[in-house]
Amino acid sequence: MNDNNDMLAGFASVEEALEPESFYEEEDVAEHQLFLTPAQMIIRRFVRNKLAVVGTTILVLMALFCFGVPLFYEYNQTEIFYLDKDTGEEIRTFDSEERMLNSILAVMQPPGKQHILGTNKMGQDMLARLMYGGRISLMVGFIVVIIELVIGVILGGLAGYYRGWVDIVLMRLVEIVSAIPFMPLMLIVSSLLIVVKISPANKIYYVMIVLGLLFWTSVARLVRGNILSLRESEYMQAADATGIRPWHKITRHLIPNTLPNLIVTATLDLGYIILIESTLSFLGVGVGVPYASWGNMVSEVADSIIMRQHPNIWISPGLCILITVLAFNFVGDGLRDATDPKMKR
Amino acid sequence: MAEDYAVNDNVVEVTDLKKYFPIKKGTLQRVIGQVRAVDGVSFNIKRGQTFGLVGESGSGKTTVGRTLLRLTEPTSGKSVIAGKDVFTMKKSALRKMRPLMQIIFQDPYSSLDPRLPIGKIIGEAVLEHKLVPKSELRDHVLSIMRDCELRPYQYDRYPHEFSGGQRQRICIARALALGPEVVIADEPVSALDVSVQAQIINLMRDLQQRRGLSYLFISHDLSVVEYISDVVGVMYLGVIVEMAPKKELFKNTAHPYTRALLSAVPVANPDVKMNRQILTGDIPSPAAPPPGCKFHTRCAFRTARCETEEPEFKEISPGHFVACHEVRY
Amino acid sequence: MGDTKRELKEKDKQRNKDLKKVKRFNAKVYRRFARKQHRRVPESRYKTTMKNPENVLEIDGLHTYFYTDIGTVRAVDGVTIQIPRGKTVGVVGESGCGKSVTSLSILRLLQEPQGQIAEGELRFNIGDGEAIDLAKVPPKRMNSIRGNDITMIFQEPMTTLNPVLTIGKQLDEVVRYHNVDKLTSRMIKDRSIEMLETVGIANASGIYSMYPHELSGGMRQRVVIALALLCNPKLIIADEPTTALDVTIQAQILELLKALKDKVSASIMFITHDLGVVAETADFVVVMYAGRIVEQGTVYDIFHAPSHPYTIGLMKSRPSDAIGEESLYSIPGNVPSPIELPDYCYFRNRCDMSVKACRGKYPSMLPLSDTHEVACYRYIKIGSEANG
Repeated sequence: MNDNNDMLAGFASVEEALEPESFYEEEDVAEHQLFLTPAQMIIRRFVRNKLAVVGTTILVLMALFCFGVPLFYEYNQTEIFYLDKDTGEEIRTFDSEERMLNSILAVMQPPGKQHILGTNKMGQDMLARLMYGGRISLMVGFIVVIIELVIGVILGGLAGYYRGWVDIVLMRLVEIVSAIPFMPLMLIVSSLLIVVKISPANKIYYVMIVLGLLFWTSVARLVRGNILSLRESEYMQAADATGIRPWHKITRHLIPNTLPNLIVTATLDLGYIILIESTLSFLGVGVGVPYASWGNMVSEVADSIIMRQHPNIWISPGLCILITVLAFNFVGDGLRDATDPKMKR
Repeated sequence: MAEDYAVNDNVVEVTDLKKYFPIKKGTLQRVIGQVRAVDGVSFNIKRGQTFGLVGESGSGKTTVGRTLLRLTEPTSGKSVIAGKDVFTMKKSALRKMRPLMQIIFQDPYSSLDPRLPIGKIIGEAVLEHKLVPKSELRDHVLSIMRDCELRPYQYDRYPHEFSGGQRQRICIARALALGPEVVIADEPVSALDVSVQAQIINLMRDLQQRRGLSYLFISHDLSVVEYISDVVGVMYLGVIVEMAPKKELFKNTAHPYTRALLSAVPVANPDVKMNRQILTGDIPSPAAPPPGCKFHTRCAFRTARCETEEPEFKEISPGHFVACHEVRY
Repeated sequence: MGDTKRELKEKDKQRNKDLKKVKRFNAKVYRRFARKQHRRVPESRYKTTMKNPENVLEIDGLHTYFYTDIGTVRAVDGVTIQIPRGKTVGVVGESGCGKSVTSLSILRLLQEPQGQIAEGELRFNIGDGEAIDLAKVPPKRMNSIRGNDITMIFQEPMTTLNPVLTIGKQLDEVVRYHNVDKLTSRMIKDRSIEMLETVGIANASGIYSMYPHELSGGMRQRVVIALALLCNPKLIIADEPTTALDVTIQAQILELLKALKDKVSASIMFITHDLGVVAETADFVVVMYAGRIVEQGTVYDIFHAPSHPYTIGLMKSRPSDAIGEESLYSIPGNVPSPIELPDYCYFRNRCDMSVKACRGKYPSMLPLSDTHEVACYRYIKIGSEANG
């Protein structure tokens, strides 16, 4: 063991080396470190997730495209374009009767200078319709999610907080609502709306309400489950023991702790609802002509000529749906990973 | 019998406390049985003293702590804390007297809301009960934190930055900030390492001396209870089988269960080869407790009487109560 | 509070940069690990010889690191333990000291590639004067050692038992595996029930047909021990086997383990945080702190003459030894972060016996007697005399 000599290096004698000396450190390293709040930690983890950042970027761009760009874009979604029969020149305003007689509809124009994505079979500008259709899709998503959140949080919260018979009754209601066959109901709703002569522009609002009334059950289940487990957590019991008012328990502890999960579910649901809306519009249940929606734009693919010769008409809305839903899923997954306490980094 | 032992300065008086949990089944939640978690427990805690409650898992010691504070509704019995009957009180009055009786939980990780900074966690209830003016809240919380050996800069930090021992200090600070008279400590150190455990026990003892607190110290660890308590109660299957001042209990152990429990504790000395009294079997289910003396299924000294007749909880020497037919005086 | 907010932000930026560096470094380590996984290892690469043929296992300079996103955690940082045949070695330490990681390293159950054995030999005696290095053994070979020559008893017995199979099926499976074609199913069952009786289960044939969830914690742990014994292992690693149990049940299990020691020839590595449990069961004791051994020796060495200030502190902070005293001894401060371990003694900042020599590097193990070693500068004198 020659180590001993190394261990004594710098000391004249063993005795000197063995004189007591205290090394207690009063300073606390943690004091001088920048600390993060839980919200900041979530954001940080989210930003580190590449897919989630990509998804967020796509969504921001998509929102700009649907809500911002139309303000500067010269065409409207319902405007119909004509061509001069002789010159092939595009006509937007008819200044004379003769011109009107000499014009034909600018149907299924290929992408070009005037219409970047061409026109559809009604002679409407595809790009404009894509933007307005996106508005509808995003709006439907948001409104339905808001409706389902409001109903789901209130009913789920009541069931979880009060338990007992409230819980039993509400959970049976959840089961009943989730057992309603969705597609047949939507078809019935659609024909009802036609019978009572609702204008195609307003039809979508009724569809949103029905969707909201059908889709709150998963949110209610989530909230109930969360609140049930939070109630058992010792910090909620500590809140009981310190005599915190029920209202403050809900607002300070329950809501902030269920919020992350809710945000994740809401984000993933947004993508799902957009997909549902597209399906409905594709089937003609959702938004009606002349108004655009990504779903009814894709439905033009039913025409075999369009499918084969004019892919610009159906591929672009299809891609928009795909990208948007994918982006919502990326963001939702990113949020879930970021808020999951097991993913500590 | 509790009254004889009681002198006037009892902070907590628990009489014949019972808590049965119904066993429910099916969609209609029909009650098909009862778990007798606590089945008639009586004890008092004197001002400034520590009552230690020991027992194995399933003995109902934790339920005693929660029920006597009415964190769960009792089945029957009486709990008088600081001169007020807790069980007959209205909910609003109960909420107002919560600051007087506090509880510290076992798991320091789940007992702090992860989304609130420490200062808020400690000060929340102080503000709720308007114990100090809003302008003095920060100073109040900081002084409590200092007492619990937490540093001022930690006021704004969040629970995830703290170790188990520090979190338990925060829990203690949260309880103390309300100026309680009684603190129920439910296994406060069992989740901690030995060296940290010692820090927390010292802190609790120190705070008790400075503030005249009374503790109900619930633990499965006999050595911790022996160290910190003045009076010790031993629980088995929902009842206290033996209760005595600490020294008396550990010197003149009377109940066979207590004796077995004591001899089961491993000693940190390789030379001591103890004459173990190993208990056979497990604790019976509290849903179907055995008749007569609840301990008779595992007891080495049982007689026919033990299987049918429930033993009386009698005083065998001043302050020393035992529930056993076979105790020789 | 010298730092201004801006300086803190600056520091934070630097930290982010460092974290990126860590990530790149980890990626490199993982890639190297993956490549090694696929390489075929010839037997000569992991065949060695024991230093002492009486040992079952020799852990020699084991370093187990975890490459996490915030840096390399040196969970085990140079541990040398010898486990003699038929003896029980108790490994004591607080949470995070690396005692469990040591056992997982032996069984190669680390969460790879984050956790890796970075250095060191784990020589396991396979008889006939031959040994294999468990640190280098290919996974296939390891699978046949794990559960046969080395078995493990975990803190939570449910992690070992399969909840959907009866106890009997699980025991039979092991018996069958170890006695291929030699036994009829009748004999297998008898052997299983016999083993259940050996571990002190009274109603063995009843328990045989029960499912794990129908048993109490103590019973389950007995079944796990029976499972471990059925393999006829050379080494049993018991990781806190009694921590989740009540004292009276713990006493039963400890008693059982002591009784079994005479019946079976296996060595036991007993990992626990409870000094009392160690004193009862172990022949040799290893005290670990922050990934290193601070003291080791026979039970008598450690409990009669604890020498490292940490061991002394641990003993003193037991409440049972301080009844009636005003205040309990407590070790001040906290365990250092396993990511930024200092180059001096890890215990120096918490030590109340430190001397000037403690300014130096991390102390090496100094022999106090033939069996007793301690890593502390305070014994440098004894150490130099012993040498000189």
